[in-house]
Amino acid sequence: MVEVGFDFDIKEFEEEFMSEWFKRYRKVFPNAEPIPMMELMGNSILVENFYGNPDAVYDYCIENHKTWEEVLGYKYDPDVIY
Amino acid sequence: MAEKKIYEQPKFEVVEPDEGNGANTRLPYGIAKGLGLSTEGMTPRQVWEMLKKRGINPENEYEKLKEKATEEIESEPVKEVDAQREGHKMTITQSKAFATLSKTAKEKLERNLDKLSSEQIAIISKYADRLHSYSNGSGQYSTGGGYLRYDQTSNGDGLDKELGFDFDATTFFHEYGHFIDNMVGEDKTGYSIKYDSSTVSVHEDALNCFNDFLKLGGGTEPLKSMDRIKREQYRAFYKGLAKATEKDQLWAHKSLTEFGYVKEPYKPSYTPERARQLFGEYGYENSVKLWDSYNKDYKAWQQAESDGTNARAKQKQKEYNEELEKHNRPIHNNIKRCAILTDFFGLYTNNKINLYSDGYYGHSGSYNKWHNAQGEAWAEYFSLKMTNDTKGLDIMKKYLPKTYDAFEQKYNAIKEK
Repeated sequence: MVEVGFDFDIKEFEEEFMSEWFKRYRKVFPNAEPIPMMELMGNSILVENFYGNPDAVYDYCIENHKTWEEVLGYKYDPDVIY
Repeated sequence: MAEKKIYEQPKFEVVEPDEGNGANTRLPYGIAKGLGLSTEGMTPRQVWEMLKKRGINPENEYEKLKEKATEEIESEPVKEVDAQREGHKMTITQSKAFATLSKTAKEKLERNLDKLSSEQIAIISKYADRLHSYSNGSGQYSTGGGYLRYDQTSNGDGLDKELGFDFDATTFFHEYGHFIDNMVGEDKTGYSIKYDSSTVSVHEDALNCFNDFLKLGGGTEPLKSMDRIKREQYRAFYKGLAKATEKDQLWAHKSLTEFGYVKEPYKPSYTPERARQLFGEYGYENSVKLWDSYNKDYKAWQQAESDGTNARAKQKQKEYNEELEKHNRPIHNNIKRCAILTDFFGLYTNNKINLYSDGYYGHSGSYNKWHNAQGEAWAEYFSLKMTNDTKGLDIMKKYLPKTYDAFEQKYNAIKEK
């Protein structure tokens, strides 16, 4: 694997391209991570209640003041592959 | 001495009824009925006698019946039992992991495996006996525990249904791809497929993509080192990645056109603002507004219903679901389908560039820093391959052609093993 040498803060650009709902979510929960959809594939709450739409989750979270991790019952496990 | 009664011998050969269905016995009655004659209280012989008087010969009629039966047998398709396929399927359904599924989950998985080709079943069965167990929840695979997790109760999301499955197929086969990767490889990290020459290919793919975006040689002259790219170029590169999302929109547009939601031709978009505007035109923004209005109504109904049934709130939810499915499903399906690209960049650049913050499919920052792009790209390729997602495979062929070729070689090698 070839290392890619980035020496700048991507966050500057990240902000520019971020989804509007995630920007709003970050105002309520600063430094929050976006929803990693690949790690939530088949998550029944995401599929059944939010129809796989992360923006709908952010909206719900802002209104109920809950993190998406709480709402979707997610906890990162470094020992598994997603 | 009583006179011995001489029975008249039938002049035709008695044919035994075929397969015990009484067709021969019923034949004279059928003919008589067709002629409008009453047969009430009559034996078959008596009916034949009546028919003979009308010039109908039993021998001829039996011959016709025999011919018809022969024709039916000959025209019936020959059901060939694919013994090899059944053997492979049995390896899967008799594995120790399969035994850990509930009865309903077993039936559901078996029913959906029946939708796969014999070749796909053979691949799935290769290492089936080495998987320890299945568990229930969102998708993951544990190399240490040897378990594969997927939502066993799910009937599949929009993309699964579009692909003809009624279970969490895209997740199941993605995780199964990880499992195969783990089994085929030589180390125990879980990302163990030795890509041989494809390691270079994947890198070349990425560099070619970068070059396309940067318009340096049109993707034909790979850059020698990414370190040489200046800050301005990084910016252009990132903007280029935003342009890549246009391809998602193109696919979404195609689907929307197919579904009849959009009639105007596709317009290219080069900025995220334009992209959002475009999604807005396709109803994406409407879904957010719809969600907003649904949320308010839902709460209002919940508060209003003192009996606690929330019947009207549930009805509102149902209406919302239908609206969402109608307007946004093709877009969401294609966004999920494009994970092969959007996830790849996050992993390939160690999360320096990720598209998941913009609502696309990707892994978390922590994950992107510790895992490599090949393993996830392989899992995604495996899922596309097993679900016969030709649109997804076309995306991969077009944008990651060398990776696609390398994975095809690996797939064929596993098949031959």
